[in-house]
Amino acid sequence: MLPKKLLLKRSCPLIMQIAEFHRKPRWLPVAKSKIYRIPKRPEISEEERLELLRINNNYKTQMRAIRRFYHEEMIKEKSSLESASSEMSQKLEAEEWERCVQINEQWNKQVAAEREERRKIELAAMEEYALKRMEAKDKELQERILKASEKIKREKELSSTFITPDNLEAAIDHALANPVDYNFAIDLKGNIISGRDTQIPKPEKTQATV
Amino acid sequence: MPFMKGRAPIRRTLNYLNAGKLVFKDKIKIFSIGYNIHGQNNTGAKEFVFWYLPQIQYKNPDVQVATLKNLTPTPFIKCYFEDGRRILVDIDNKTKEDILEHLMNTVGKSKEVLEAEAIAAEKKDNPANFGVGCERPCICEVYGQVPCPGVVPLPKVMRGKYKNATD
Repeated sequence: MLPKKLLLKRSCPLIMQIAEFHRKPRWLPVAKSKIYRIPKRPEISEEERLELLRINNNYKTQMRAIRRFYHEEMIKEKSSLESASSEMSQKLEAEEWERCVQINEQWNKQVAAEREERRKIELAAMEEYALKRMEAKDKELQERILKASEKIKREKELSSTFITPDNLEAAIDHALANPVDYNFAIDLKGNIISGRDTQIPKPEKTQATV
Repeated sequence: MPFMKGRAPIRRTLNYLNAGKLVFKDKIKIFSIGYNIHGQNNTGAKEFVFWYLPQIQYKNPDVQVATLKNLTPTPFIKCYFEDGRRILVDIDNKTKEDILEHLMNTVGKSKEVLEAEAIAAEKKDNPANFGVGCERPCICEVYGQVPCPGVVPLPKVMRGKYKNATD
């Protein structure tokens, strides 16, 4: 509710009814004319008082009983409704849970089976790969052995020409008897002329050819 | 995050987030997904995390969503319930659509429940409603309606004092 002052102080007049409290405001003191007025206490005879007390007591008791009756009834109704609904919902929920678990188990089983199959295939592929690698390695080893044995054979054949302490003298004699001159010269045509003392071909001949 | 930056920024648009189909049951409190970033059998889980996790988190703001990356031999999803129950879903070598479908069947609310909830929410949100728990407690607050007599007295034609005047 808007304050009265605010409504009254409006710039334009407002035609409106206002619900008012037709009394003095609470914060004003007692009116001057009523300061010394002392209201007379009501005089009730003893009989009447007792009668009123009895009636009042009766009324209170009956009202309390009725109130309690309705309150209890309400609580009972509420609890029964709640329990019924909660039981229903619990039952439904349990059923739902069962269904979900079943679906999930089925799914998990299927996935597990598929994975097992995949694993098998992967394992086979891996085995194949490993076997291939092993075979390649074996082959390489065999080739190397073959090569080595060939080399050995060749060396053995060559070993007959080796110089040993037995034929050392003969070899020295042979070397002395046949001196080898490794010096050589190359002319412009690429001819190798071996030996230090070899005669050089005549220059006229070369010029004529060029 | 700036607009239209990063990988697939559509994932952050409101339309995309609202289009999420997976709404968990009320009892689910934690949703955790474990996956690896390598391997053919993990691609579905990886894509699920990439595409559907934003939608799931948006649609279920009260559920904790945890990802366990590169901590598991095979990808899986584990949901923890309010009362300690848990449900384990193996998502090895499955596509993201398959996974979503399965989750909707098991841990998600069914279509009927969602529709009923939407209707209930609409009822509550209807701006025409008034009273306790609604947007406005009294119809008198609406412009053009009769104000409450406690605030402004009724017109005299409606008041018994004047209607039933004896003189």
